[in-house]
Amino acid sequence: MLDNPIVWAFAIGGPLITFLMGGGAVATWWERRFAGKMQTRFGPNRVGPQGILQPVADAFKMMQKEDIVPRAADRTLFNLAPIFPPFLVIASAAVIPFAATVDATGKYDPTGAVAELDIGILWVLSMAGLMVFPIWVAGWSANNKYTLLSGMRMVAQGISYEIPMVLCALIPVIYAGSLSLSDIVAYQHEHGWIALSLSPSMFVGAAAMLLFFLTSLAEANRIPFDIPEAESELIAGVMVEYTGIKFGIFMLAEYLHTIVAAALTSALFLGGPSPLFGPAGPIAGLIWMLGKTLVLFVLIYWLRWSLYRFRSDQLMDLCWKVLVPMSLLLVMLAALMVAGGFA
Amino acid sequence: MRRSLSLRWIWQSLKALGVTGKHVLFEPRTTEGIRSAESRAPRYRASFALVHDEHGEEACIGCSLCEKICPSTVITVVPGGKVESPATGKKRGTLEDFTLDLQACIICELCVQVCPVDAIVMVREQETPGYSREDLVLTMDKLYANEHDKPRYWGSGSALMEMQDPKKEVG
Amino acid sequence: MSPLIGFGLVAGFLLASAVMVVRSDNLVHSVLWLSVVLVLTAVVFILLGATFLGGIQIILYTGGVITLMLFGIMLTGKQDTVEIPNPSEGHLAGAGAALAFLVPTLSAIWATDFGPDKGLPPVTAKHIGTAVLGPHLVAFEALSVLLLAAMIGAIVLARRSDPGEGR
Repeated sequence: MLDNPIVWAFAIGGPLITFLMGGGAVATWWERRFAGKMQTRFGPNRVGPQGILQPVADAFKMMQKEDIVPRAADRTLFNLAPIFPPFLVIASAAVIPFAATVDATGKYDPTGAVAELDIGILWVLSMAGLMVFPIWVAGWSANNKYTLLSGMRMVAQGISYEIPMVLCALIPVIYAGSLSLSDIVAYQHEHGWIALSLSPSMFVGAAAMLLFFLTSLAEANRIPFDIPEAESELIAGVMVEYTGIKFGIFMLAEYLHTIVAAALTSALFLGGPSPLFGPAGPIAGLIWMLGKTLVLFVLIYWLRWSLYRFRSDQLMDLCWKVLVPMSLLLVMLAALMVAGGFA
Repeated sequence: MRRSLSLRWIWQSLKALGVTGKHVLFEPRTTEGIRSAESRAPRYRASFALVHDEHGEEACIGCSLCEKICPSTVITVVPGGKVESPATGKKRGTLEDFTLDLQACIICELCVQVCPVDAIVMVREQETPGYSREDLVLTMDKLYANEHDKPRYWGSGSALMEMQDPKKEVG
Repeated sequence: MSPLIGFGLVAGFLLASAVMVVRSDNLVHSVLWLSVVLVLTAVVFILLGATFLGGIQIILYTGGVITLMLFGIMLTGKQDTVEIPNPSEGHLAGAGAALAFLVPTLSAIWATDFGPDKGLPPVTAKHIGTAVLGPHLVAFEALSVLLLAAMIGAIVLARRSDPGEGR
């Protein structure tokens, strides 16, 4: 019965959505505790052991707040806009293989994705491309010139950083010869992780991983790329007119995006569920995948509390004058690597 | 236009990551709950206490000098009548009610300096925040409780007045 | 049967959204209905087995074209209110013209014999890639030259709008 893709999708998708939503809540706790550790203070540690129930308290607090819609705002769009960001982020995680099985002939089959699309990475990129819309709609429908400006900046940032992101996501595609994330993981199981493969192609792979990671951060509006949000300056920028749980949904989408960005980078460049040593069964694969995602996830929050944010013009400058040429160069080098037989 | 991505930026970002990473290993510098009096500066003082004298009676004689000198008028004194002290046999004044509103107090310590019998002193631990404004208005019971609940500040009325005595400076 | 129901739902929603594009009184609502139309077109492509085309449709059309239209509205329209009016007139004449176009086209489609379902395997990205870089290489290169010309034209147009800079 698990052969039926719909049944499989529900069987794997249910736990995945639960894990991601729970992970989003834990991410808010981790952000505040880890920030506290880096600033030699406590984070929230009152609500539940080590403060782990703090997200629950935050959720209750947000749900009991008054829901204010500005009188001159476009009500339908204003209320519809928060729904899409978390939906799109979770949808983009549908193709990430979280585990792998080794069947009787020893063939490695990454199988933990909700849907094994043959256009795997294209699905992720289309969801990433769609994500700029609900945020823009949120900014516009609030009838507030500041949210509109913030929304415009967010759209500009989103569509600009999509280009190096797509190009760097092409590197594993070029190496593996397929758009499907499962094939990319299987390739990395044979030939070593793309970013750490101890061969000449490693430099291209490592550079591509770094660029993909940074551009994913830019898509997720994390520091150092969070000028549309800019907590200390614009107080949530595009979301400033939203109250209570709608604002909570936007923030949840952002935290979800960090998890999915970490998971995606590990699947594309660090081999996903492919182990460095030890057995390669489904449980081991899941543990490896979660471990790699966790390392990158911690790195995202470490960067957030350590770096300055880029100014808008520095952001665009960085994207168009540095990242786009670098990723074009990397694509050419990757093609040369494949042609030369190094990958 | 200055380049946004330069080697200098990369190096400084790595150093920033090192700084925050190093801090993860430090002990937190904040405390949970109220900071201990030992960790405070020597002249730190935060709240008040009414004390009993060496005979075990309430030291306050209800003279209301503290009420008159307070620049923020936070003290309210209701003197009681004169009674005969069981310990010394002399007639002395008593206190019926004493209120100190900590919300407007400026911690100037004038009430402590002016007290002729060293009845009001300061203590080195803060009052805990409450849920209403009334929690920060110190009643007589609270002030007498602070006598042994909270660590005492060294300055009492007579000690402070002796420090300011001009006869000593000529020396 | 169930593929037909699925397709029917998608197609019905697509047609309704297309009508809303034209009939909506608010310009930004029209553009957003258009994005719904484009996403549903991608769904139709996927239902037909052209998954690569569906993905590209979302990335290019919905991601690119809609963004462009929104930027256009924002930078040229009047933004004092959140409702940019976009009323349409001549509904009766429009409906008549639409019918006059629709009836012959539909009857032509119905009358055509598309032949039996040949049961070809679905076209994957690999096929498209090999075809584009193989038999259709000239067309691919010509397209890239065309895109380059478009980009240069856009840059020239953008620069001419501020003549005082002289950069």
